[in-house]
Amino acid sequence: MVVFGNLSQFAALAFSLLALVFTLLGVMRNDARLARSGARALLTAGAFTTLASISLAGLFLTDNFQVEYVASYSDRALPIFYKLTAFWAGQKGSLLFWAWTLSFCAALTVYSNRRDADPRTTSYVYLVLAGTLSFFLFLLCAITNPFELLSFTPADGQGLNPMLQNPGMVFHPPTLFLGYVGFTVPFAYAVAAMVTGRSDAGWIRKARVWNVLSWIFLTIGIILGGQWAYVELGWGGFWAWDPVENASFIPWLASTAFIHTAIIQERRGIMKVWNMVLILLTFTLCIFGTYLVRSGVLQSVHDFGATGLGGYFLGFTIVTLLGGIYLIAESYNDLKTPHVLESYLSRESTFLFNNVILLALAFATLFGTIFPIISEAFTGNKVTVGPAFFNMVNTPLFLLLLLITGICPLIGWRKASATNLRRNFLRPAIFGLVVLALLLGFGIRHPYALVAFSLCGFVAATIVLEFVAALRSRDKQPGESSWSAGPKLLWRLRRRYGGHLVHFGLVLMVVGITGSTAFKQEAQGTLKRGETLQVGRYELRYDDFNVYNKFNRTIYGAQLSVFNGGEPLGILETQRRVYVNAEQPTTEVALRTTLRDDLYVTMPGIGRNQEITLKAAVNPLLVWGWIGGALMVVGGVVAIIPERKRRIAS
Amino acid sequence: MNTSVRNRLAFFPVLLLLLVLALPGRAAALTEAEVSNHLMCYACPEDQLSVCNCGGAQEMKDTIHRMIGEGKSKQEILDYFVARYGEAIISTPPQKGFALTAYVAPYVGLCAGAIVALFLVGRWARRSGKVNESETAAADDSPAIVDAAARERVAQELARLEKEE
Repeated sequence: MVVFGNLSQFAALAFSLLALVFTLLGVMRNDARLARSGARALLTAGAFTTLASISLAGLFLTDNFQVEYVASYSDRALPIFYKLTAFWAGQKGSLLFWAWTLSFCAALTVYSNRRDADPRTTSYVYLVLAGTLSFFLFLLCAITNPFELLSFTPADGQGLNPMLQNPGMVFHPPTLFLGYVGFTVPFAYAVAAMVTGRSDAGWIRKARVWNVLSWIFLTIGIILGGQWAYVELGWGGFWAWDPVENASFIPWLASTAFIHTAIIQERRGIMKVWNMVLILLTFTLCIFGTYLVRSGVLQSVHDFGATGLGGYFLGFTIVTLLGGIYLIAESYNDLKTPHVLESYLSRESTFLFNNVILLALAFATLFGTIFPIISEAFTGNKVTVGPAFFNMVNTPLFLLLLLITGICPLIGWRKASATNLRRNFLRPAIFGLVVLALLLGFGIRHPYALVAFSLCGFVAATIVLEFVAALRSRDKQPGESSWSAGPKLLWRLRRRYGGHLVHFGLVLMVVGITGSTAFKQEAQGTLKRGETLQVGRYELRYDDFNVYNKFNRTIYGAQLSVFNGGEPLGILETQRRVYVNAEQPTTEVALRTTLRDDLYVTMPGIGRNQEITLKAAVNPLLVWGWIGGALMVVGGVVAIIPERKRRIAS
Repeated sequence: MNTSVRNRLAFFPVLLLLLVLALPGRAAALTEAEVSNHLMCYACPEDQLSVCNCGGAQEMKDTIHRMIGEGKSKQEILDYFVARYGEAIISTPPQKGFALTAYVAPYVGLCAGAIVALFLVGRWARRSGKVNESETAAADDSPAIVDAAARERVAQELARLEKEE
């Protein structure tokens, strides 16, 4: 299976290079047949990448520890489920997974263009995809081969890092990769549009769909990562502004900016140059992020170590960036359109400011992430940039973003009149102020929390009023029942209301993040059996201690009864786990989630006579953050469901 | 609802606000995370304290917890760690010298971006006026295919489509 996998990988590289050559010749000679051969070679490369991936999965399942990668990330005792997910636990496997995902996206692109009448443009699309795929396959074949053999066969593998043995690990990396990889396709369409001079609406529609799709996956990946950190790492938070987290967040911001201005280009045919810049930026930031985290230049909790890949990714980033800038400069005259706005105050102009804020956030995060390197280069002093810095710099920008999220929908396309604005703004603004007054009334003085919650009130009110207005306006249409007409309208304009759902999700997310950080309550104590610890509104009573074995781990579990004002709420178990092959025990969080707050309990220490040290926290409203995240994803999906061709009444 | 009633309605929450501002507030308690977010782990100097799970990190977190219990402020606790382990224990760049650029650059970027956006919006909006004028001029030169009523109809139709979008 090792030889088969390795051969498949090399065959995939060969066919990918062949696709590159065919498509290149195809566009140079303007030969549609060569372009088609290129597409077929690309599909074949995809098939071989799939075979290589299946082989690697097979090697994990059959415990073939002669393979260095399998020996490093698996062992016999590992549950079969995690043997499969160990595929992407390390550098080599995740690169193969990346290549496989890219080939899958390439196949989808070929399929969606099967009836395309414009082989020249699609050839360029395939050219970019084949180029990127070849890059990844080259790294796999020549630099970090997952099928590399050890000179001996160890009796057992080193096992999977216990922290990765969590269901969150099943979906977090693949969805993140799908997001990253997906951005290759809009980039390919953008390049094709620029080279062929066909910068009309056709490419932006396709690029938008792929961009939103990738955005959805990246969002899922980021949220699952946060969820995993929260339940698995036991430090009580969900986001640490770690370089790897930032590397996913920065392209997310750039692609969010593109989603907004792509709408302007589709509607008005303007901002073509800017959209090209955003697509180039998103793609380059994905690759640059990979460089940052794989090169060892930055320290990260996601320890990939110095892998020798940094130079290649940096080179690829530079080539992409310079190539992209050259193409944009070359096609500038084609792309340039006389930009006309009917008014200073219009949805279009607010979108411009939304872009400014999103990119300022992206810049702030990127600058903070690479600041240790910059500082070392200029002053010789490598400073550290921790979460407190990012919280301080990014929070005001976030609040600005939230504000503009509320303002945008209130301002009409093209031209907003003063009366219109007053009417639209009044009620949401009042609602925001009422929220502020209530919070102040409850004695809350945390400045960020006050601003964030009031803005949430304001934005939520704009969205709710928008929905209500849509539902009510249809009531007035004759011959339709008021119950079905509203939902029908919402469904028909799903792209717009999907967007509103995403915004509503964002509001809930801000509520969750603000609530859990500004109003967090903590307690810590060492308890003997029968003793209690008070945290916020909860009392925790230490009842019992158990030691038992399960799968590949020994579990030390403390049973706690939870009370609220004397009323029993149930039993929680917080654990320390010692995994086979692991040096350090891990903490297993005991979590009690309600819509009001999360009770979060860990056990950092077990003393003699089974005395335990407990750390407990109450994280108010946190669950709304997860609900908001889910809503953002749902909104994205709703917005992307294809609309039927609209009939315009004559 | 007429305008004067609306205006009075808008005044109400402002009044309410002023009223509740006069009430005493509750100070939010300092949390361990708020302090540990500023620190590195002394035992694993490459790791942020907040996410580090080693014994040394636990020791530092216990100290933070104890000092919060003693009523110490965030700055006092940070000063304690600096005195013990040196400046390198702080995980945020100092707000002076070259490191200040890390704090300032994003906002310089934001302002620059906003100025460019303002400038562009202004230019595009002015151009709209010119385009309208030149359209009118062109219409005057050519035979009047599009009359005022037709133009009005187009505007209405566009407005209706906008609404649907």
